[in-house]
Amino acid sequence: MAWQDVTSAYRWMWFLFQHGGQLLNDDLTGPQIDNAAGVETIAFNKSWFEENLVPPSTSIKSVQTIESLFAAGTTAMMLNGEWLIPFLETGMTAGWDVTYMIRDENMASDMGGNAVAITKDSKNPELAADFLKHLASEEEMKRFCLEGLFLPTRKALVEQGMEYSTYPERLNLFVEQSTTVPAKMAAEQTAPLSPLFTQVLGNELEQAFKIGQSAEETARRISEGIEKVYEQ
Amino acid sequence: MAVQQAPKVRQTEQSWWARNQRRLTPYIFIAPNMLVFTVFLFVPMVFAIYMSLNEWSLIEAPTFIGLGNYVAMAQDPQFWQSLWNTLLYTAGTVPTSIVIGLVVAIGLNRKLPARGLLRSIFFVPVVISMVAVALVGAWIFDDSYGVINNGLTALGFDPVPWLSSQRWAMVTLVVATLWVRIGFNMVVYLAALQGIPPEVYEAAHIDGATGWNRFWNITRPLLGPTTFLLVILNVIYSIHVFDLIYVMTAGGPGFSTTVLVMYVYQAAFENLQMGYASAMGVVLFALLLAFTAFQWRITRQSEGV
Repeated sequence: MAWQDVTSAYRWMWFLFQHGGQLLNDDLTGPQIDNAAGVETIAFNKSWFEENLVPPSTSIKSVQTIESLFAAGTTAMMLNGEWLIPFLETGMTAGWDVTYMIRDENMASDMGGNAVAITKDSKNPELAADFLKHLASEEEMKRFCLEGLFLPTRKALVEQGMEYSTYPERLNLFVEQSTTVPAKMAAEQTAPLSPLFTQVLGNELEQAFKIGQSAEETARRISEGIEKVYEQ
Repeated sequence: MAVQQAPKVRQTEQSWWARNQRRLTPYIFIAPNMLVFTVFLFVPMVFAIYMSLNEWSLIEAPTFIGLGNYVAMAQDPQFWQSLWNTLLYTAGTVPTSIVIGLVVAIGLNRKLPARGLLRSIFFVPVVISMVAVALVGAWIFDDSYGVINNGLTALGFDPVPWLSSQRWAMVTLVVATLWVRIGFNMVVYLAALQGIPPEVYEAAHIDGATGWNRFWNITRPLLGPTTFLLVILNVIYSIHVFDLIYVMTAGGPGFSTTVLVMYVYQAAFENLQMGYASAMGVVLFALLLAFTAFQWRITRQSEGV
C-alpha cells in the first residue's frame, strides 16, 4: 500500500470508510475513530505486518517505493495511483494489469490530488480567483487530465467519459473507481487542520504496524491526538 | 632658517589614524565575515529565541505564550525519545569514527604502495552529497532487493531487516555515517601526524619503546588538540544529522530513528508549530554549547596537569 510517508498517511482513511467508519464526527469538530469500526480497520491493516502479508519495509515511516517492489515481483499486488502506469509499462517485464480496489462493507477509494488556494492576504484576489476558476473549468480540466494522464474531479467529465490517447482502458477504470470516493472523507481530508490530523494518524498507525501497539490503543491515541489538535 | 611646521589639524588626523591603525585593522579585515555572521547566524538565532516564546503556525500572526513551548517540550515523550535517539546516534558515530579514522591515518601515514590511491578511496565519500549517500545506502540496505541481503541469502543466511526493524535501523544509519566520517577524520589526523617530528619517534625507538608505547606516550598526547577538534566537530555533525535519516528511514520504524533535528523539522514544516520547533532548536543550541564548554574545560585541565 502506497501510504509512505507520514504526510501521506491520510491514504489509510479509505480503509476506514470502506468498513463503515470515519475519522471525524459529522460536523468535523472532533474525532470519531475510537469505536468498533476504527479498531477493526486498524487491526485489519495491522495484521498485514503481523502475518507477513506485506514486506516489513512498507509501513508508513518508510522510504520504500512500492512500485519498485511490484516491478521486481516481490509483491503480487499493490494499491497505488494511475501515475505509475508509464513506469510499469517500461519497468515491468512480467505481465500486469489494473483492477478494481478491494472493498469491504462499502466501496471507497483514495481522493488524492493537489489543492489550490488563495491566501487571505493576496494582493490580487479577484485575479487569483479567476485563475482558479479557469483551472477548475470543465474545458481546462479535461485538457489537463487528457494530456497529463490525470483523473478529473468534475462529475460532468466522469459522466461524459475521458478519451485518453494512451492506456485508455486502464485509466478509465481509475476514473470509474474515483466515483467511490466518499464525500465525507473528501470533507475530512480537505478540512483546515487535516495536515495535523494526518501527522497524528501516521505516527500512531506506524506504532501499530511496526511497534506492536494494539489496535484499541491506536484508535484511542489517534482520537486523543485529534482532540489535542482541535484544542490548540 | 625657520622650520616650517605642518598645520595642526592635519597632524591631529594623521596622528589619530596612526594611533589607531594597528588596533583597527584586524576589525576591518574581519568586518565582512562579521556582517555575514550577524545577518545569517546571530539575527536568526535571536529571532529563534524570540519565536520559542510564541505560538506561530506561519499562517497567522505569532501569539506570545511565554515558556509554554518549553513546558510542552518537557511533557512530550516524542521529544525525549528523539533526544535519546540523537544521543544514541552520536555515541555510535563519534568515538567509532574517530578511532577508526586515527587507525587508518596511522596506517596510511607509512610508506605504502598506492598510498595516494588508498587515501583517496577513504576520502571520496566525504565529498559526496549526504543525500546521495543516503539514497545509495537505502538501496544497499533494502530488505527486499538490497545488495547486502542478496549476498546474505546467497550464502545461506536469512535476510536482515536493516531499515525496517527497530533493532537494526539505528545500527544501519551509524554504519552509513561511518563510511563518510572515517575519511574526514583520517585526513585531519594525517595532517596532524605529519606535524609530529620524526626525531621524537627515533629517540623513543632508541630508548626501546615499543610501537604501542610510542603510540600511547607520543602520538596520542601530541594529537590531543586534533582529537579535541574532531570530537567537537563530529559531535556537532552527529547532533545535527537530518538528511541521512530523512532519506534512509524517514525517522522510522516507529520513532526509533527520529532524531532531534528531524523532530524539529516535523514540528515546524509538517505540524506548522514554528514556536515549538524554535524552542527545541534553542534547547539543541544550549546542549551543544554546554558540551563545547565542558570539552574545553576538560582539555584545559588535562593540559594543566
